[in-house]
Amino acid sequence: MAAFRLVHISDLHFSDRPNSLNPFVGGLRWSDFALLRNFAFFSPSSFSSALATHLTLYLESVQQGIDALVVTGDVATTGSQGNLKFAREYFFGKPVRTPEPIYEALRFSSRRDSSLPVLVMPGNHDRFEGTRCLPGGAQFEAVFGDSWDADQDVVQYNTKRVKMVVLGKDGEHLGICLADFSLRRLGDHVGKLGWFGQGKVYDDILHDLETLTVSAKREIKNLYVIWAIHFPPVHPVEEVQLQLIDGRLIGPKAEACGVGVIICGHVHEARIYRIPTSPKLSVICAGSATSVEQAAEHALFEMELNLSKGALVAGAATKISYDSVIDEFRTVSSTQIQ
Amino acid sequence: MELLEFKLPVVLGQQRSHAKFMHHAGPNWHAENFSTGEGPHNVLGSTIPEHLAHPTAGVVISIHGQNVLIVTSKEGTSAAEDMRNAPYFLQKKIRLQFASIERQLRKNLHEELISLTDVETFRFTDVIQIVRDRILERFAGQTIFESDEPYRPTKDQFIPSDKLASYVASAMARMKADQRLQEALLSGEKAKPELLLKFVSEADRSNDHEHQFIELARQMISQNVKLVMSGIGVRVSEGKQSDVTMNITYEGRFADFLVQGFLEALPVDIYQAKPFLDQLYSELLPVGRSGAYGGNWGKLIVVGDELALRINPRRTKQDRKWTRAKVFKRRKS
Repeated sequence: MAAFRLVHISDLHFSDRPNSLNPFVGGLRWSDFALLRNFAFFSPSSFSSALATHLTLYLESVQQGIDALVVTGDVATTGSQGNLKFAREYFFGKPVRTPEPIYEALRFSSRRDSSLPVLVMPGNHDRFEGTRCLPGGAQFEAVFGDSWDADQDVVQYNTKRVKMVVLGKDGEHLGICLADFSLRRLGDHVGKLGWFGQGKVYDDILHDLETLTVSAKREIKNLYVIWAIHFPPVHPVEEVQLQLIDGRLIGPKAEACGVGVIICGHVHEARIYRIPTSPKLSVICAGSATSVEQAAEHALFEMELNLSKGALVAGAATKISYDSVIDEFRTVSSTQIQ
Repeated sequence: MELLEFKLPVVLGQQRSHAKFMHHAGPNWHAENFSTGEGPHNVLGSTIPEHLAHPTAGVVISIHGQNVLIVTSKEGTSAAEDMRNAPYFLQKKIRLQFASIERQLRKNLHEELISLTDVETFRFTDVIQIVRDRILERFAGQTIFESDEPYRPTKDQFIPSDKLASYVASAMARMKADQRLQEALLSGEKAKPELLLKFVSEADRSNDHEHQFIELARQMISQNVKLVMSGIGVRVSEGKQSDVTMNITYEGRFADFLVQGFLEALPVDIYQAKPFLDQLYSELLPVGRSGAYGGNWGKLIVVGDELALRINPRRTKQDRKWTRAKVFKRRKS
């Protein structure tokens, strides 16, 4: 038996314009893109420099006790080079001689143990292209590489929209399959302004996800696989503007592949839920750790998965939230996931 | 006022190795084990460890006034008093949940604001059921940890005045109009001059939302001022062996790095920045004199007539021993 520990964060919304704020975001989630910072031009809400600093200190404090850090999308505010490069610098930047000004975010790259795998995948924000934030942007690959791993060389299996990383310990293996269901084109959205917040389960990507999972299980002994998808499938409080279109296809496919855990983000609300039609599947949805939203609970998860002979025998997800009284991330609650 | 009682499906437990258990929860807070009648341990398929289950105390959900107000208390005690005594993080969770419920209910009731009358007339039972179900679903099967930090009732001590909030609120009113214009344009409407005029004129009539903007602005200022200070505080505290005092104003003017931080985090019209900062300084003075506004990083104090941060040395980081898994095989496609 072997235990694997992951820290799961999401929706960081890093940007070269920090603290770009939409004060209406609490009531109008779908429109948080339509705000003008300093009343000048169109710009989505981004991240809080102070929260990014607190996140760095939290990650620094736990990094020696985990196997990997997983970031389930929306690592940047938009898919522009500037925003994505800032995100890459936060995790993978080289130490700089001159420290950043103290009101700027303290980057995790300045504290990161270089042997810690950091798995990053795109979300809908990372695919925003142009001033209208249209879907289909391709800069994520330009910045993080075709394997999305920023030259860490940790990706074992690789298709265009699905990557898989395999961790091994004591004869057990944990596969983390990252799949990008962001909209490919404007015409795929539904409803008013749906392209901002929606994803779609494309047949070919789902097929790749299934194929990689099955073939990896065939090739690697004692392998348990979890899926990482930015958009929570069949979320219990699903809003059309934030919907994963055809998300109902995910649960049955996951169960058929022996996947019992899906990690995701997107809706900026930490929650663990089960899909009614796939009761064996736990969906762990992280909040946004650093977004600048006022009403959001800035939450992430520490996960521990105990594997035996390629099966999950015990698991727990511990929610860590930013506590605005003590000004630190701290443990809030724990949920059994198996 | 209608009062509905049920128990939250949470277990209040010990935080890992910390021995503090319900440190500041007070006598009205105890470990809870929810019972719906269908079985307490399997609301969402999650199991509450037996050793964490404790005898229950009641939790009251009340619905009254123009809002669905969720408070938590032991049966038979004053709900308001108990809410004040509740752990802060739980208050926050409940308030967040409440906000979410309220949004959903508004949709269900055709965008109408919920009032007690509406609720009673139309769907009072449904509303209660929705609130109940959402709470159950949200907290089911969780072990909730109390902070091992002493409770500091400090955050709410800085409540910006209407005057201070109005600087941000007026900027927000303009932003709101811009936002609606952007949405209209993005929805495919052409940028006709009359459309622009329509939105500008609507912005002029934004008094309807003035109170809403003021309250929102007050929250934003309160939250962001503390965030900016905490971000600076933790940066400065690194590597320090003892307390450090750092002035953040000079002759009543904020240091440049703080001005940068505040004006980045708060939407203030650039032409209003100076009066805003002057007002902020004057309102933070009494807060600083109280010496109770801060976090684990330190606190805001006053030295002479200047604001300063008294910054604690940062606690040593945890160094958990763990054999890290190896990346099984590295292979480029």
